[in-house]
Amino acid sequence: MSNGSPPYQVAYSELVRNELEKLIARAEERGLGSQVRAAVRKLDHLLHIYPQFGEPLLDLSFVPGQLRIGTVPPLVARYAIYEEQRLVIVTIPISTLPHSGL
Amino acid sequence: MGHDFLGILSRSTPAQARERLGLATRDLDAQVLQLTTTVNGDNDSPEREAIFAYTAARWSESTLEAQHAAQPLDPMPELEELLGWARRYYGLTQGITPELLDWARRTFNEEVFLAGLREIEATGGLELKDFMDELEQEVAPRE
Repeated sequence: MSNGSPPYQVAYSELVRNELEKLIARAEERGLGSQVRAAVRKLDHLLHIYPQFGEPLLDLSFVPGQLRIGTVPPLVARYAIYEEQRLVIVTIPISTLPHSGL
Repeated sequence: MGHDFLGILSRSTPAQARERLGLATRDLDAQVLQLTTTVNGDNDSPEREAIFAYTAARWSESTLEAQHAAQPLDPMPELEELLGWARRYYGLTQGITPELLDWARRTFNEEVFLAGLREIEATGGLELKDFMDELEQEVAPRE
């Protein structure tokens, strides 16, 4: 970020990693592997620099944060932003948009 | 608005930029918004990068202010428009439909979320760069 703001730290859970493996495998079988892999990388990039791209889903109470939903076609991700810590966590498996063929 | 304005924007936090330019928050947002209508160049141009970085930092600043005041985040229209510009900047023109929002709320599993949160607190979590290459090797491309 050019104005000196540090990027967000983005952490994924083991469940998200495992489900992503299945999703990529499914995409490969359907000839959509490169599209999905590119979307995963773009999603991760955006979460590091601009997690606000998604829309708010709900406020998280115990540590002030916000659950948001963002799409990078064909993917849809729900993630939490903890602004004070500049931390983004992805603990809910990444899904695909309806009619994405996946 | 010339190179000096952009230079200040790109090298400063929003608070620093306001101080250096002698502008109130909403006035600076409005000037940056105006800049989005005139800036040329590719997506990676320094001008666009500066506007994008300012917008992201302003959102972060507003969120923290709202959290500290225990108030809901209620961005001014200028900031809302800048956020919209930033979405388009990244080609994110496909909005979230009401159906998708409804699905996301209905299927949100708090237990799964909290289990993942506890795991990340305990282990630090995983970074994509640490496992993406491995995933791609495990799943050999068939295209």
